[in-house]
Amino acid sequence: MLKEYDSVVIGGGISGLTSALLLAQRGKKTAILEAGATISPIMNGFSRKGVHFETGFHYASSLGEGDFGHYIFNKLGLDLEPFPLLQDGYDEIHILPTGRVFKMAYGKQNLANNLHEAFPEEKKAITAYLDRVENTLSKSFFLNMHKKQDSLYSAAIDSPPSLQEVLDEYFKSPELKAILSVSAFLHGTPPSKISFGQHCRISGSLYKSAWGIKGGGLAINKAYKNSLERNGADIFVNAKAVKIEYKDGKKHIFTDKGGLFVCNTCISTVHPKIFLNIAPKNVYREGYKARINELEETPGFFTLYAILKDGKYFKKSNMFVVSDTNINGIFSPDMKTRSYYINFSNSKPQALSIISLVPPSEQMWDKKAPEYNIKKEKYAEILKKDIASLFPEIADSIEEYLEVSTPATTRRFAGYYSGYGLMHDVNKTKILPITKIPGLYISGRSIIAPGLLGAIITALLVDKIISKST
Amino acid sequence: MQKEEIIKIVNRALVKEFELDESLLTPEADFVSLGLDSLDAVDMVITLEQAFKVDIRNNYKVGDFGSLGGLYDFIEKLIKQKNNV
Repeated sequence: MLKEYDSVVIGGGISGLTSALLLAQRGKKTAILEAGATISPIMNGFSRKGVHFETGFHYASSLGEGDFGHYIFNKLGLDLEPFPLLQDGYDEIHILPTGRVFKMAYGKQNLANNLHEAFPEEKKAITAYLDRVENTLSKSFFLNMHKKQDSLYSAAIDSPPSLQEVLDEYFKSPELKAILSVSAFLHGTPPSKISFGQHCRISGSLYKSAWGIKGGGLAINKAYKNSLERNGADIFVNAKAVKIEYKDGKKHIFTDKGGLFVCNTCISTVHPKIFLNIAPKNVYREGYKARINELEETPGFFTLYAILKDGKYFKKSNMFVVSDTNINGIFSPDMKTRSYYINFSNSKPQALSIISLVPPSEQMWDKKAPEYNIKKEKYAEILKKDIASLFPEIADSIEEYLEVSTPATTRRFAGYYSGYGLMHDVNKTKILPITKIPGLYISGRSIIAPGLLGAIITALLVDKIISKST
Repeated sequence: MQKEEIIKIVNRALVKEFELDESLLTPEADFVSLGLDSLDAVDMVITLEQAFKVDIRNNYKVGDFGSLGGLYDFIEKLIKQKNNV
């Protein structure tokens, strides 16, 4: 079964879908190959007892009018309805060692006011830091891609300092540093390793505004499916790419079911280490391959799902709970310095997800790994006990704990186990979208940035590079 | 760090990590003629930053070095700056 296309995108996650849509919009005959049973499986979430649980999308920044996300949804023809989250406290940060609860507000002045009130002795530094975040964001190529041109490759290169270095330069209070870095949870790279610029783009952009999307992940998938159909792209599900060959200028992509797709332009959005296994041998120099293989995985998610009583709307703020002010510690391989994120849905009855991070060293992505089941039960118990003792009002509102998911669950349903792909470590090599093979590109959240907008931004950059070279 | 040592470390990285022929590594050699593309350039910058513990990415301006000799000088300058701070 040989099929010919102008372009083939391997991987039907957000980044792959966006790439395919951009190509199809330019009139390219485009196919998407997705290994799972549906596009972007992580966005589907799941339902129990009539309540929907999100697994892929919780909130996003930059969806206000004039912002990048708003612009790009329109450009992609995605019929999505963002709604603003609670302005004075979309997230609450609970610092367990000191008992402080800090409300993350958006709007620079609102956030500044809350921070000044909590840390009056560091008022000047807070103002200077927020100015620096704003300045960094306004200079960001990615968040202004719709407004200006820049060197594409230099845009892909992150640079020092790290978030930790900047926080240490500005602040004394470990609590304040924790408050400003706990959102490392949203990209999975610890403050000591993420660049300040990358952290700003992913979580600093929430200082301006924070948004939900009506219908959540399912609505996002539906919007992509509709727009792809309108633009004539072909979606192949249950089609896992197992080998890419390069012959006579064409890319030949073989699938596990015996399919063969031949194309001029191929974009792989699968995990870079998997890409190395399926790509032609000369895709990179050997030294570069070795450096890619040395990049660390971000932690996976260990999540408890519960349903709240009565359908009573309980809480509009999500919660970050940290048991150590050293945020680098939340990436450590045990539950001793545990930290977690509690998400409250906006459905009735309300769904509750308690999400903690599990480093790859725990091997929770492998059900056959030693003590997998023991760990799974132990971690669930620890989190339930924490909720009961620290947040009795939440514990009392819980009707029932319904499910537990581990990185093995994500791996089974979505095809990957690390929460955010490869770590974006400022001191390690960068994976650029280009390869040594003309017309073969690599994209996805491990390239520029993870998250809904990170994946979209990565796809846009790749598209700009492709349209410049063809 | 002496210039000779800088040259030795840069050349060793180019031979080992970028599979270049050592005999081609003269100060006059430019990166294009060495067969290095933009992908290699990014990888090389980060590899050299690690080797010398300097920040090339934030200090580099287009035209700072076009040849290997220019790269040696640029790294020497960054190391001197770092030691003076």
